[in-house]
Amino acid sequence: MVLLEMIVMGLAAGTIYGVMALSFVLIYRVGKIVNIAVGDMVLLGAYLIFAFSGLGLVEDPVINLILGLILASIFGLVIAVGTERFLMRPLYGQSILSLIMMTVALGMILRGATIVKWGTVLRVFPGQHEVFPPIPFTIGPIEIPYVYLWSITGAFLIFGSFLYLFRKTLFGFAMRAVSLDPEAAATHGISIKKIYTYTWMIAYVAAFLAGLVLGAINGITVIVSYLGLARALPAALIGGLDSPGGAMLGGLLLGLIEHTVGTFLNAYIPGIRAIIPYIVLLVVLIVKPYGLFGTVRIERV
Amino acid sequence: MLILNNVEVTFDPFILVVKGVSMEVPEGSIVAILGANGAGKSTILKAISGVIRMERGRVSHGFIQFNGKRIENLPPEEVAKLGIIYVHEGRSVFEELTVEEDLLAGLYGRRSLDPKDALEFVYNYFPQLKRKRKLKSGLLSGGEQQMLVIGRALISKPDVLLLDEPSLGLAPKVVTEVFRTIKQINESEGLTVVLAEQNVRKALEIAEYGYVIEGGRVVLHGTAEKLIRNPDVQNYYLGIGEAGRISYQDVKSYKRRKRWIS
Ligand SMILES: Nc1ncnc2c1ncn2[C@@H]1O[C@H](COP(=O)(O)OP(=O)(O)OP(=O)(O)O)[C@@H](O)[C@H]1O
Ligand SMILES: [Mg+2]
Repeated sequence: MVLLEMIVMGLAAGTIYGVMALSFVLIYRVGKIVNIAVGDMVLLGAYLIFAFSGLGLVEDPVINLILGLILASIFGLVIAVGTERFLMRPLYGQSILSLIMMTVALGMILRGATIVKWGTVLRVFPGQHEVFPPIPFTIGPIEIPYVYLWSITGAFLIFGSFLYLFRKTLFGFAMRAVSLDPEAAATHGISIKKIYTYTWMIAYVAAFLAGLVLGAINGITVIVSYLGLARALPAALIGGLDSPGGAMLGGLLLGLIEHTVGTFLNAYIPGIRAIIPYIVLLVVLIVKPYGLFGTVRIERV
Repeated sequence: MLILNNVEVTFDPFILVVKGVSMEVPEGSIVAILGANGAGKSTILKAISGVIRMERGRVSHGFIQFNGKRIENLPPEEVAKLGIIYVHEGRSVFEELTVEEDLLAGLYGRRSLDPKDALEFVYNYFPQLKRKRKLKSGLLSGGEQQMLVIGRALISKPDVLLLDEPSLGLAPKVVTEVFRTIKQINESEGLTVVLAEQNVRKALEIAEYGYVIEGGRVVLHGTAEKLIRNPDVQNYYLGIGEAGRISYQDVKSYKRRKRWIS
């Protein structure tokens, strides 16, 4: 029964890792950019949700927080436009390295901005205790913290709508076309810059959702940005870097390992659970650098 | 009517590739651009379509006019929206998309059209594609991939199709089939076609008019009948006459650059 609970916990936590990995993978797949700033986007999301829900626009704390998430996401769309236009666009055609350096800079800018605006004290979301009650949610014999219900629902919604967009709509085909051959895509009236901008938008919104969940679990501090990067990266790598479906599977697998293997080992080596994602990252990099679900390129001879 | 007036194309930093080309492409006609490897055929089509902008190139002199509007140096997606679609040489299918998705990606610039009707419109000319619509486009044969990229260009109902060496690497029978379909679409849809080709004989079978390019300049132009009977064309491009057969099937000296800037 303990094991079952660990599995459920792992999968539940994994959903939000999957969402962060999706954010990372999309930028990599469409723009060929390794986005080191993903954790800082998560952090910014947490603070913006904190700020917008702090306005207390509605009475009900749950709706208030959801409204905060929506307002933060709208703000995120604007930041996405700025990111593409002013940071990334000047570097298109330059080396991969300069693009990575730019995302490092982006991360520092975002993180720095949160420190300037909100300082370094630990914050919690308004109505934290009503929205995420300390008593766990029970399904039969299994108990999981309330916050994971948010994680599962949020991940389901964002993933479901994204996959629909990506696999079934003209927009999704255009996005995939740009990721495969930008020049050919442009000859069909697809604006590459716009597709890149939309991709950043989706990446920001996904990261902000993760900010809500990680902020609720850990409290809102700069730690969230490191947690975010340390989960998004291994999950994305396990998933093969360029596959959105793989990102979610990678997230789930990472959560599962963390909450089963990690929890077991924690009894012998206290604290080891916290570094399990890094160990997984190392192992994946060494054993299978292109991940478990990476795209198999079609080679015609 | 598509008009090129004394067009020069320069690539960064100062590489002059097209050196003052003038052409006229009347509505509903098929016009061939003929020449050997490196003559500048692709560059002319890329200049019209705006694709040179993604390869650090630009029209540095002269102008390009389409239905009275100046279009030189517009970004490629803008040119596409005006109804001019460029089909790259070498069959750039989106290999991880299925045939149907690949075709529909071509519709993105004209979202007002109904996707089902648009697909049927293409399948009508290329029934083979319909049979393989669920297959990944990277798995199609060379001929089918050529049909796919032409179909993907047609799906948005363009006014002008800029076709870059559709015969490249295809078996003669398949070339005949592809060219027959191009002619058919030209006749029944009134589609204007600019066809860059090394396969002079095939190109002049369907074109009404041709321009022969050498070293980035027009060295000869005229109606298809006139060109096909021209001794120089016969000698150098059709392999008839004293010089004998010349092979133009050399390996491409220049590979398409993926790098681009705004
Ligand atoms: N982006 C570029 N930068 C520099 N030079 C270029 C660029 N693109 C083309 N060129 C040069 O311009 C010349 C003409 O190239 P182009 O591709 O137009 O020839 P082509 O007539 O289409 O030949 P082919 O039959 O081999 O396709 C070549 O010498 C090529 O090296
Ligand atoms: Mg060419």
